[in-house]
Amino acid sequence: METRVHLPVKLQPSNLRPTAYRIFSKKHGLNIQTDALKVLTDVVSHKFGSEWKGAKAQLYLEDIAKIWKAQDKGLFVDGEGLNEVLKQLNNEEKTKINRVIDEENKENINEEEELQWQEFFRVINPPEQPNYTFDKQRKQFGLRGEGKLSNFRDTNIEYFNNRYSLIRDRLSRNEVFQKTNYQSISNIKSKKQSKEITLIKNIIGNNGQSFIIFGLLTKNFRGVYTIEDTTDSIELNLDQAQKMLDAFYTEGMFLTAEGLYSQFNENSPNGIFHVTHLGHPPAERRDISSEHYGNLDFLNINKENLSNLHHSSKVSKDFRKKLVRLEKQLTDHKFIILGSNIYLDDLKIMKGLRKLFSRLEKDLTEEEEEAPVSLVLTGSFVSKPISSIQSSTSSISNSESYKNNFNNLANLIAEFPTIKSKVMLVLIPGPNDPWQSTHSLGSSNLNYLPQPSIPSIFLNRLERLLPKGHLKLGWNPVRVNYLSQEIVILKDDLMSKFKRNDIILESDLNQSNELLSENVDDNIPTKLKQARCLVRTLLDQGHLQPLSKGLKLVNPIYAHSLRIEPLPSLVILNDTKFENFEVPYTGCRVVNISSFLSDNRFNYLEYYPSQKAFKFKDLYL
Amino acid sequence: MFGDQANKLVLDAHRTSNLPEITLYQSDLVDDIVKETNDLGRDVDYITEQQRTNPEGTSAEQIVALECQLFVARLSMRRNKRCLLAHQKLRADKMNEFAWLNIDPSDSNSTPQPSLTKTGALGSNYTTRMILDNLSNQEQEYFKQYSQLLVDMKSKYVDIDLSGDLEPPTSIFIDVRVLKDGGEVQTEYGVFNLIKDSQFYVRKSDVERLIQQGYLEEL
Repeated sequence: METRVHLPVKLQPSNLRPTAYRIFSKKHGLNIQTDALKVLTDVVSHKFGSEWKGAKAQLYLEDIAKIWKAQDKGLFVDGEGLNEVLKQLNNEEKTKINRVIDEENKENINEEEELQWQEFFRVINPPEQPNYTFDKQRKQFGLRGEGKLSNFRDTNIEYFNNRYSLIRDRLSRNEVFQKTNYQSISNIKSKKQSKEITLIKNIIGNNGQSFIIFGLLTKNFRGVYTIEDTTDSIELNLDQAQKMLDAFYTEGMFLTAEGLYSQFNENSPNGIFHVTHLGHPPAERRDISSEHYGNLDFLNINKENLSNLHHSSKVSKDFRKKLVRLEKQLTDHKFIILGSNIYLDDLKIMKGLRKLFSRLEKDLTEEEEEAPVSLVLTGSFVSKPISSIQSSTSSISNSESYKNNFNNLANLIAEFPTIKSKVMLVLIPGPNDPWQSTHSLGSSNLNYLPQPSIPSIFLNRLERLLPKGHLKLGWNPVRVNYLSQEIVILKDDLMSKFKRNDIILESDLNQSNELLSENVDDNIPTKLKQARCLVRTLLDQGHLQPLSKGLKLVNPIYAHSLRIEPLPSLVILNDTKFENFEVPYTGCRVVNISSFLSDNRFNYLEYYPSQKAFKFKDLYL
Repeated sequence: MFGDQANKLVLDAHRTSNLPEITLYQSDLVDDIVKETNDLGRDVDYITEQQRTNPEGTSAEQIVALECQLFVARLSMRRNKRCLLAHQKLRADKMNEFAWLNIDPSDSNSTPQPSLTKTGALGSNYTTRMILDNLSNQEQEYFKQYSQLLVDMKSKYVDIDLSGDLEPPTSIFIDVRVLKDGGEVQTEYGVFNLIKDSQFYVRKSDVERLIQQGYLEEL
């Protein structure tokens, strides 16, 4: 490489003005402001010295302008933004130089080494997740501004509307639900049943005809189930209805209903819909949806956009392939996800943690390679909900003892030097953790989602102990981007909620009676069946909380963080009231991990992202 | 009838061809046409299959009927394809026109830019406004890459402003009024401060870009 050192010269901004004007304004259509020109002059005079008019300097200016355009920073080049760009350029150059040195050392460096996995491993909390909302006019996702109080009203209103139009769009891509063309011979000959979805306003008046409708299932003021879409709502008669698929059906879900319309209903002028089949809108694979939505960067993984939340960007296919390739190479990476409800005030649990850590420490020191490991701990971290009330038995306030618990954890981790220095710790709050616990008192009904992370005042000691950036405070739910994979972690007892609110139809009762009388021995255990129901329900609905507002409180400002569409690669549920399971569905894996301590066993999960493989593990007390 | 949808699309394209902006991409209509074409394709498969399986069992009349059917289906498919291509070509042309103006496309939320009344030689149906959100994903990608090509080409001719106004200027210096605040801005030989409602007497070539971008207004 040619390395000529130029002595810096003193340049006046007016010297550089014509060159800069030609490159920035004439060629790239940008306008330079005075302070920006000053910054440019400083850099150019320092970098190129007497050669400031040379071709290299012009190329350099060109690069700056290109980056500016690529990042969409606006028409006016100002000093502040320019400094950011320059910093980036410098960093890139440094890594380039480093690479050159590396290449001299060992020749066989792949191109992929350019990507550093650390840059694509991020814990993304709802406020950091770009707020893409579905635009029903464009049928595409668009970026929405940050959550403000004035937006709160709108987002609240649009909460169900957005879900409706998004699922509707997904259905319109599904072969099954498309309009059948009666002119086409193949359609007539194959006698494919038409499953076209009709809007509710269009079925009214067509007495005695059969239709398929799609909309939000709710109960109206008379306590009758209704389905509502953007045009109208209609009462349902579920006496003869059957569930099409094994899934949960509760209020607040978007369902398809097949049946007969009858206009005779003394209670409502809209008539009544006699449902024969209730169904879920089928989910779509991750790659298909993201392809359809233009490969948008839903998690903002492109590093140059880290600072800019208001600019939508895309992940190109090549880039994604590169990430996947890199992911395959890093076989030693793993996540260790502990069962939830790690009550730090419980001595048994502390004992279990000690045992687990010592095993992990042994593994880590035995392995020659430096294995990067992340440890995910999920709350609640205290057995009784934190409240502002002073406990009567001791003089220590609740929050103080809560903090002491985390100090104990810090002391425990300090005993294991390898863990302390290498492991990344992710903490996710549960219903007993502050500050939501102060008003909900641990009840899941008053606890709204997304729940903010545990306040950092409680974690001073841990933060000091671990290397910088190794302690991540996650929200509930939290998203983790690991190279090409999107991992969603949610702490909620979903199974019991769905079971409790599931609509039981008459046909279900008959079916279960039959099963009882015949004593049919199903090969599939009931627990697995239920797990499949849960997974199908969640992914078909494309939402982590597909329930009506009466069943679960949701903060609509962060509604986008509860949406799971396009499907993530992995969903980890922390349902303590159900057992462990792993169910794949349309290319998305859903895993449940029960509470950390169950039946004198400590329950945890290892995940190897390179093979996408899980191992449920346990330790005996 | 076959081709009705495609006809709708083409009529729509014809209507928008004279507008100074690009309209919303009609993903529904395009999807429908693609679906219709797929259906027709399946028909063709079905008919040829029929002909192949029992060549003897059909009378000469039936064969003619089947062949006619085949012919119509094929014609309709071709027509659909042509309509889709024509629609896309029009949009691509409009995007190219806009890319030459060297203005940033506006967001859907922002207030509409003051339309350029003085387009001069550009003609009345020249694309002068584009909302990025109106384009489909693939079109956005196309526009980005076309603009990149343009910049690359322009950088070969540093001394000529290829995207400049084609009409010869009547005077070198003009009076301009500032429409929007923009801070201090550098031009080739000087600085001027963009404060709303102030007026300047400046070199025309210096401020051409700013006029196109809607910051200045020629008096």
